Amino acid sequence: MSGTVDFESFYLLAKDDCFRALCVTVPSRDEAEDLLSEAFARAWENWKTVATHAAPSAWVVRTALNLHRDRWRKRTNLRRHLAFVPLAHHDRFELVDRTLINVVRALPEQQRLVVAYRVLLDLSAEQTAQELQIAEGTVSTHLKRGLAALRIHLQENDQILKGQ
Amino acid sequence: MNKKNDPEEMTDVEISNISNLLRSQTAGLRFDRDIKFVKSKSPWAIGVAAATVTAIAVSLSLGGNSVSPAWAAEPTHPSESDRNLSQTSCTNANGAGDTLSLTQTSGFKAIDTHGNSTVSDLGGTPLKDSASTITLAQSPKVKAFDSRGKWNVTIMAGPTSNRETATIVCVTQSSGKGPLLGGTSVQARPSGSAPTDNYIVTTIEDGSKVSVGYGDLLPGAKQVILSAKGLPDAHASIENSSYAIWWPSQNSEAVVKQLDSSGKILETVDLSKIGTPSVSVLVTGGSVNINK
Repeated sequence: MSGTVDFESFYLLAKDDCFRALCVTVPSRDEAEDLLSEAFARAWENWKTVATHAAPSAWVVRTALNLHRDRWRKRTNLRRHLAFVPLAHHDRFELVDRTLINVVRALPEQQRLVVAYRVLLDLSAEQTAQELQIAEGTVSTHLKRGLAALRIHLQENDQILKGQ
Repeated sequence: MNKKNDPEEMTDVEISNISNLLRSQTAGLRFDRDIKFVKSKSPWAIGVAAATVTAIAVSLSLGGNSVSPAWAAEPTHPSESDRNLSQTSCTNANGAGDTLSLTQTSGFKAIDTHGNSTVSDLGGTPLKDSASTITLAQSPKVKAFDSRGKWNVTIMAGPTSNRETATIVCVTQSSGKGPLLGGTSVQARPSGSAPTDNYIVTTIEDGSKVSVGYGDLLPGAKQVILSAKGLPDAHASIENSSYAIWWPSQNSEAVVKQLDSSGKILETVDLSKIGTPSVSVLVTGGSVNINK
């Protein structure tokens, strides 16, 4: 029995998680879809290598974000918009809390990425640290700060956090 | 800074709660582009500038990997009413209230993972002609539900009066309608026993064999893949920390893999090697056995 899954299984398993991670880290859903499509195509072409990655889903997201940065550099006139672009009403997020996503998008980049990797991709602190090339302690700090921002938003909106 | 909003003051419970809330609030986000991947001589040619990477289909089509109209590698999502009908058929077939009493269902018999087809082969108590009855301490709850192709599988569980957990497996028409066509099995095991994977094979009225695999998800497991010989890999239905899947039996070679969110395999279970003690499928003539 192989220790890794085939690409098809991986794609079906990871596509939604990767998409959610990208949705909170890039400006629009359409861009997230474009980037993810491209990243999965590259994963498909390089599956033998990607399959051995400790977290293939992180490889896909990182590839998508690298593509995003490449595009971003080419569109410097848009730079000021890319750090945080609130979701427009017409953006297709019918089933989600737009404001919550906007709060994540408004986080500093490292916090945003840590939240995406740790929470939405369900990576361990160690895996996240490796992916972002930062210390595990820094991952913990960014996660707390990012989630603290969410907590403020939730408190302001009277959303109950059971178990506090 | 308000101490309550100080990140350093966040407890593990708060971190977990907020993380779970974010997950639930974004669960509606699904990547639904129809992408087909192909091998290309110049993979990057389709790449960076193209907004849609949708490569040309040659060999691998993802999703809906149907072997025949009667079965599919991916589960479907029936309407709530169809799902309820399946569950109602299951519970009706098993009696009302807290008492389970399998009714006579002709045309199928139980076969264990080794191909044995008699009660004695399974090591259980020989059954009477009339339906046996077990009493549950409370009504069984649905643990998992798998709908694909022509059959629905409903896995229900509830505590027995003997402090065991009875698991009921029902195979019904995919429409959810009609009497129980496939089979029902009842398995009981001591409460609190280790998570198990279970596997049954039953013969449908038309003579075809249907296998059902079900079990508990391991911590961190996000996906369960069935690899059965002669069939494409299939994804089991998952809910309530349980999984379930049925497939047309072609032989006894079937493996279930549980994977985490990164695709790492957490467990591989060769269903054909599951021993008799974990299987109690005694439905010949609609009887019930409790495997104590």
